[in-house]
Amino acid sequence: MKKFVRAVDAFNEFIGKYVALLILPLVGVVTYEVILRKVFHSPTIWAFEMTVYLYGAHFLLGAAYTYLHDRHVRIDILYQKLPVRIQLWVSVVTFLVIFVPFVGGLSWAAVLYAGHSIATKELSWSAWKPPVYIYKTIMPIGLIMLFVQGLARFVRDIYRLRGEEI
Amino acid sequence: MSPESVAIYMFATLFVALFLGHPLAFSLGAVGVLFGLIGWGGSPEQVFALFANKTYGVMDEYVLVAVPLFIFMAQMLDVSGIAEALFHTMHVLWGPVRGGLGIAVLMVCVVFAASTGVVGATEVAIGLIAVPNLLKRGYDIPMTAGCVCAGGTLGILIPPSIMLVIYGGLTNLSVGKLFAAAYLPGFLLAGLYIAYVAIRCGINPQMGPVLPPEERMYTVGQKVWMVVTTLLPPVFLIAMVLGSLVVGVATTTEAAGLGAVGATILAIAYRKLTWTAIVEASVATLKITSMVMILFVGGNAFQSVFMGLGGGDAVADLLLGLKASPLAVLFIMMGIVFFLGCFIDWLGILLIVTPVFGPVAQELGFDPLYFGTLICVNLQMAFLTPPFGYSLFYLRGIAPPEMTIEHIYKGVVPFVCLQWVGLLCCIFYEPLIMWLPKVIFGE
Repeated sequence: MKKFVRAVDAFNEFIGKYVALLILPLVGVVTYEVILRKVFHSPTIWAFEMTVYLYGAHFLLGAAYTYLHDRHVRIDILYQKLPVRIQLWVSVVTFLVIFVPFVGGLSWAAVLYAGHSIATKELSWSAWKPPVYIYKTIMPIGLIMLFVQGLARFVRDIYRLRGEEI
Repeated sequence: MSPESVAIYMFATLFVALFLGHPLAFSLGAVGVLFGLIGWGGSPEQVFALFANKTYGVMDEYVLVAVPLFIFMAQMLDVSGIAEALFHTMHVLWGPVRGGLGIAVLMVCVVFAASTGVVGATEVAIGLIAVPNLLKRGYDIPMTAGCVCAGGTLGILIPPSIMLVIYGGLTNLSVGKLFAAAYLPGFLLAGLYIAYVAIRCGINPQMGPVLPPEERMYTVGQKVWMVVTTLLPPVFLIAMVLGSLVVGVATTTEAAGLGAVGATILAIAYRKLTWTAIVEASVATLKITSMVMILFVGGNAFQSVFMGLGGGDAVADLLLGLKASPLAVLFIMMGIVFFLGCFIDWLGILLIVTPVFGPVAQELGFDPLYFGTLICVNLQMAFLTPPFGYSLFYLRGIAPPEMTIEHIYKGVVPFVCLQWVGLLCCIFYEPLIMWLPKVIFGE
């Protein structure tokens, strides 16, 4: 299990850096489109959707990395005041009653949602007609990465409760 | 369950869940799951399919693409180090005045607020340089803390602003109009802060002494040169972002993209752009963006169940059933937003409150643009009111040891009062909000 936790942390740490860099093509595509449209009067047919896809992939695939670095905003005014052991217990319990039902359930629904889109080989409505099912697949991928990162944190907390640090 | 009990139980559960220290996004979502299962007869498939649909809605919303772009722009601006240079200029210019360094901090904050759309990066950059500077010269510690917190918070009100982008995304109001509407209220608040610092220090120079003369030995020519070199870059950015919006060349998202390019150009011009700096700015951008958008996903889940079970109507009926004057109901809503601001962050409040209060305000005859801007002005306080306020956390993170959390809490009190004054001005003098959008966009 320790290996699992370390592997998940390392994986998301590694992937996160690359996901973060998606902001660069996002800036690039947006600017490219403005220049083409306003200066050369020849807008592309793909830039609009490409921007949206980059933005969605950016924040969804980055959700696990953000969780790894504990940057999802949480209200820890009371939590901080608790003794460490109780904090760990609260963290374990909230994982089971808050994180699993929501992130777990949503991941499962996202798999079905994307699965439906893949099964029908869904294309976008625009003139460009990109395969939108690829974009929709990012939703379950990002959410499952987040879920697994949550699971790793949970296992780590259990080890801590037993007095072991991973 | 009756809609009234849905409203009460959902908020009660949310409030308990909030304080467990779990990320807000998932707490909101889990409360949505729980009540979705109870309220809709326990079909998990339906409930989660709805959430997945809503999540794709967030992924598919073009307006929200502006959010990561504005955040990246702020990070890049931070890399360029303009904040430090601009503070130095303001410091020299305002040195001879009592409380001058406090005014300098606020001035720098206003310039940055007008060129970026977030709070974090700017407040930290300005705080890091200004706080030691002011304390060294014997400035009152709480007042210094208050200036940095309140000034930094203007970043998310004075356009561009990701708060207004998100409000536009939530309500389908034009982001351009929201930007125009938030200008004067933002500058009004800045004016109030500056007047307050000037008056307090004018009466009691010990709170903010003038600079010793040897530190202000600059010729007029040098001063002019400093102003030109440090003020011109932000003005260039403002022109790039807001100019393109106002002239109608670009959408909000495109303006944000141009702003990001502009900030990168400035970082190059200041010779601060390295690959490491780009990676760091990108990683910081990812963490903030993902936090905001995942919170959006969780808030959507909560909100869709709350509205679907009639909770929104129940609250609306309650507020409208008071048979009070529209103004009284408006004050109740503003009071609730202020109260929530003490405990929840601004985005959580926007997500929870907008779909519920928006229709009530419209029913009472308030213009949606006017009401939305009031909410955003009000949310300035959410950054400063303890126990939960982002601006307090940012400052605490960089405060030198002699500035304690008590100093910070004490320091923001007068500024929160000034924010109420500003909010009241906006409520009672509607043109503060509505005049500029009319001038720019007609109607």
